[in-house]
Amino acid sequence: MPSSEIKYRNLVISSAPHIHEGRSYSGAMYTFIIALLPAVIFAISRYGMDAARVIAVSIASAMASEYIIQKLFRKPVAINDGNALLMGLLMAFILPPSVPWWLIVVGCFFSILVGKQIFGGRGGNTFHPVLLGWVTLRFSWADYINYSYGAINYTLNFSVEYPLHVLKKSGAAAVSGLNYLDLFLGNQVGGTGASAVLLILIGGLFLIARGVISWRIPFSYLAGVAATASVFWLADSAKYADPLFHIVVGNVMIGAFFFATDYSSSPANKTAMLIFGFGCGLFTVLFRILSNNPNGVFFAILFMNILFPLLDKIRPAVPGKVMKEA
Amino acid sequence: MDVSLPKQSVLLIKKSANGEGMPALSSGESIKTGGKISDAEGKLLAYSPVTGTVAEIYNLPRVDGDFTAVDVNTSENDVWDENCRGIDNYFDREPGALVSLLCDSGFALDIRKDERPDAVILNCLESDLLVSINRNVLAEYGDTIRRGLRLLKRISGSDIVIIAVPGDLRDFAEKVAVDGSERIAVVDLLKPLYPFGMKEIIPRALSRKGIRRPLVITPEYLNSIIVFLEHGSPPVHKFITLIDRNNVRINMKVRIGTPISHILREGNIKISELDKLVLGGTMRGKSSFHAEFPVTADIDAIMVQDRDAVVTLGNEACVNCGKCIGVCPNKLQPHLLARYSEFSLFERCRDYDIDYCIECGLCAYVCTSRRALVHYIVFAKKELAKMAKEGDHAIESDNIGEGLACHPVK
Ligand code: SF4
Ligand code: SF4
Repeated sequence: MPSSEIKYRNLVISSAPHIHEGRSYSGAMYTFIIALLPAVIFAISRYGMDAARVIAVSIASAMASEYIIQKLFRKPVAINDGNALLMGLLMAFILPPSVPWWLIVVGCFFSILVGKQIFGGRGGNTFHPVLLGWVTLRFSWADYINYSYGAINYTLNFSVEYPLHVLKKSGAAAVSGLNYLDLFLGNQVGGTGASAVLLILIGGLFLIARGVISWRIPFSYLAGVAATASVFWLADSAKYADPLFHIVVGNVMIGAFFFATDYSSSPANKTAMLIFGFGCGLFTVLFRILSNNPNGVFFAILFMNILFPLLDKIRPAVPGKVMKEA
Repeated sequence: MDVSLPKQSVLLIKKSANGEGMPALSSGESIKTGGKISDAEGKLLAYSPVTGTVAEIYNLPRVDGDFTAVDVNTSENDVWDENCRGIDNYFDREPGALVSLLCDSGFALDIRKDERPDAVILNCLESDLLVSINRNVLAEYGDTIRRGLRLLKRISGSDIVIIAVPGDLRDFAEKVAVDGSERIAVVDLLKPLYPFGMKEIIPRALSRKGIRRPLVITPEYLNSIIVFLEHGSPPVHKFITLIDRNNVRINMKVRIGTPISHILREGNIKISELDKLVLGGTMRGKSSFHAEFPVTADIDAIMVQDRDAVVTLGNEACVNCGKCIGVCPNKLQPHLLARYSEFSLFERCRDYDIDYCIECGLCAYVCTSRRALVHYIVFAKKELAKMAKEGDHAIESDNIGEGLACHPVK
């Protein structure tokens, strides 16, 4: 077979496998975004142009930040992978609809720069980028992102006080009159999109059904919230709110399904996922009850973000190894 | 479908690390089908798959190592070498002697005196997706395989013989499992899922648990052992599945050494620039940059993939989604293995049990970032092997059951 006789040149060479199940990173990001769309519609129908403004500014500034930073860092520009869009959307979802535009820009820029790119870009972030951005805003301009203040200018057919503030100020008795179903359906003040608890839950279940996220983190999160809240509630039900209250108010749902499940800042192993989720739930309630700040969800997730590399060390035994050594 | 004899065959002989594997042949020498091909010291390297005259001997690198290639101009008058004679009463021979005889004849049979297999598993599942060899061999050569199982039961000293088949082959398997009034094997129905058909995985997929050191063998291989013992003819054929760009499959019986281009012609498959030619199935096959490679005993399939269907796996960053961990049959950490390999931290790969990776390809199949995980892992394994060789010459591999490259080594 002299080489001159070799026919069929220029065939493609690559390593196995020669097929792929078809999913991709950007596919996953856009699935996340689709899962949030019902809540987007809900937010706009409730807060009108304000919600549309927050969402638009947030997405635009997240994507612009990504573009500028990737250019500056001389990295390939990858804004169409959907990640920056998702980060912008998530930022909009947890800010109140009244928040000034410059604050959104700062938050998004900070999220993308410090939260994502400084850690090495896609896949490198140990913290959820949006939550890092949010923490910055929270410590610099706490009043602007306060959900109760944020809701003051709207005529809503429910209380404009953030239920967790009420709980903090006036105790469990003050919130016992609230209709949980109402809260669950989204009749509570809170983040622009995050308060649509039911729709967020549906979006999250959609993500699980599409195989984009595992059920382990969100469900162990909810279990963690329920378990921890139950302990307090059983100890003193006059002082502490019941578990169901903790699940339906605030950012638990969006935290469990959309923030704690961020690929890069959560564990990849199954057991570690369960512990991580449960830990998030546990600290959510602890922060809500023991700290001055009722936004336990975000701090709890950020706290667990620190621990996750450690948790990921818990890995299963190798079956072949067990077999040989036995 | 039987593929006709090509005008020219190419016999590949794997070179060992210390440069062995040079056949004592010269151009113009004539060889006969089934004839032994040995090196200068008389060590058996291969059997000639065809009758003809040697045209050229040269080096030929393949993805999985270096080979010596022997081009043979085939003669249409296909005659068996006169030394191919069956062994009388082979069944009654002393088991140890029979095992050494088979090993000396180039068959890979992992039966050692000190560590007997605790079960014999006839693996009728397939080694890869889209492949359908074993099921056809089981259906077609049931009688030979039954004799083979009887023999294995005897020489392995194990009472447990399991025929692992997909559910639709139950009837064939039952026929093989029962000899007259005596049952020699149990039939275990498995879902025909990948990678159950891999020899490392199938013991775990069985309904019988606790098998630790099984002898796993495919119908094709067992058939060739019995044919060798009864007629003296070493395996010169290979069953393969030819898969075209629309995943239409044809099962073929091919003479070993037949160039793939010849098979493609007979199967009426055209291949053009930027298509992919895969030796093997979709999950584990090795791609080839031209079609003149010959069929060897370790190729179960030949697949042509259209240029539009070619998937690109690359080196995008891992996002830690955990999908690869979820599918790994050996519960490894493919994302970490690939990452350490990428950054040349091969020792860390060992800490993460890289040796237990069976290269099934599932991790890369699901990877969210479409990373070439298996590529990285294989690379790290090679580097580790190199390091081990440089570091310690004392580790010599045990040759028992290594088999010849021209044999269906499974
Ligand atoms: S190829 Fe990937 S999935 Fe298969 S055993 Fe190796 S690491 Fe695990
Ligand atoms: S599937 Fe790919 S992206 Fe996900 S953890 Fe594994 S290597 Fe990383």
